[in-house]
Amino acid sequence: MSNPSYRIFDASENAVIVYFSDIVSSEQTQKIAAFSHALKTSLGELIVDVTISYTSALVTYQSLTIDHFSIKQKIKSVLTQLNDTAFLVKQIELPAYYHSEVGADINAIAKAKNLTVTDIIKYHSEQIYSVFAIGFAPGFAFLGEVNPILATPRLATPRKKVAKGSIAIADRQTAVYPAASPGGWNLIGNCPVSLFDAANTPPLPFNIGDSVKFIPIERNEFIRLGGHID
Amino acid sequence: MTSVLKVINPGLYCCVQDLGRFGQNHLGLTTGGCHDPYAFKVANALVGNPINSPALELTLGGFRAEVLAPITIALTGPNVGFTINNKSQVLWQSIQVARGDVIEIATPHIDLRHTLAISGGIKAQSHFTSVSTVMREGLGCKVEANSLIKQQAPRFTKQKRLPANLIPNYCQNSPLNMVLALQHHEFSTVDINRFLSSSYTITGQSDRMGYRIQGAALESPTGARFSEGINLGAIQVPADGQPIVLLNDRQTIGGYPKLGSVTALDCANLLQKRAGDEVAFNAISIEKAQNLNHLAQVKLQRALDALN
Repeated sequence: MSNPSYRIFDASENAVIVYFSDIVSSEQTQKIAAFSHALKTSLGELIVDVTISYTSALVTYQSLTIDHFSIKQKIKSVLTQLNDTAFLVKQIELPAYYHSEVGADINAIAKAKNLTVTDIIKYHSEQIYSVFAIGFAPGFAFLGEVNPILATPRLATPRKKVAKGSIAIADRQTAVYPAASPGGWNLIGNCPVSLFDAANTPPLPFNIGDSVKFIPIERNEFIRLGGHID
Repeated sequence: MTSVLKVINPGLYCCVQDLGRFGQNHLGLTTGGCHDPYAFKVANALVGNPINSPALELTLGGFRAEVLAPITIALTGPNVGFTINNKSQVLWQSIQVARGDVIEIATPHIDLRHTLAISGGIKAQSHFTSVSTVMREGLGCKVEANSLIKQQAPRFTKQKRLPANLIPNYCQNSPLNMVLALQHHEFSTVDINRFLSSSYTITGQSDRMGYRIQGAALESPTGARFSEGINLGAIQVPADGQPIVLLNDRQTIGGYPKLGSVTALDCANLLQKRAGDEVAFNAISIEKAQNLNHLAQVKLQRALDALN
């Protein structure tokens, strides 16, 4: 990084937060993922956890072993040595059944935007999304960015229960609910593949920085892959 | 493995904990972990276990269990009515119990939480390197009535008692130490002073995820921001101006502005408080906070040495 655009702040007596540029992009996400990887590799036991998200990395460190000045020096040195070679990312494909019987808001979005459901499927599935952040719940991945034509604000009142696998949109983000949970995003379909399984290694099919593409499937394929219609 | 305890009444909330689930934030998994590492490690040391052995965390006492096999137990935390077969017992020491004995822990008057360790450690399913219970994530084990507690491995230890000068003083109500950090520079000086000079009441919406506190409202900095990692103790201020201190079971990322962070040592003190209690905050430098961690480590080492 010849022109460092990052800023480092203390977050607590045993954590610092590194902000990269304020602009969200898949290149930046990959850079932050590469930074997290490099940090764990080069600083080893000093690092307790790294939480990366959109534009930042929160680094929790062993404050009994290193003080906050020294850790920041070490982090800066890792940032400086971070080269621009692309971090190895993978693209995964997720089957998506887009239909009002599993996506309660798809008709309303179509109506509001003067589109057909077929248009929504086309716009949502032709995009390649970047995993910008994972959080909110285990395995909940914030994917971006959705075609602006489909951008829809969160529901005024969140639903008490959103079905597992629900594919949803909030503004220019999309996501798959890895488990049944409350949620305020607009539902457009369902992905029959389990995204987070504690028994699997790895438990998640993707990491931050990877990309995701949705492949539209028909109802019978959805059922065959284990999908449920409530 | 042998069942060693049959829980008759788990009390308000009883769960299995260890020191926490670290290094898993990238999956969206939080840290969880025992409410008070000192009380937790000492409880394990008292029964001769490695200090990260799974133990029970009790919230608001009310616990009753029957002993199914001879073991050693230790209860740590603030003073509370604690009996075996109705005979009064002392906390912070190891106690041999026999088959048929009944352990009872009353509801505490002031503080909330206790650690109950058993010799050999509790056998519990580990997920992502830890047995910590985080109900929201469906990981770990919440203990219910009739739950059987199994021992990881048989272990015997001699009677041990923590020297009185190493038992924490739970009665003090000093302000919680915090460091001004994160987005504190986006808050006005007036609001930071208001925060540091006010006392706040803990609301009923407080649990291991976070404590919501109510009092002088702060002006939360506006402007778009992206969700970012949330550290233990982070003090976030949503639009209504009422701070929330994020604790062990916090969500991994979030987007509210934060004016700083309660130190890890004082997060343990905050977790002893209950709805209606008042708290105040004291800003200290990071150097001082790190020094206090070192002193706490020295104290822990003295305790472990005394019990070795």
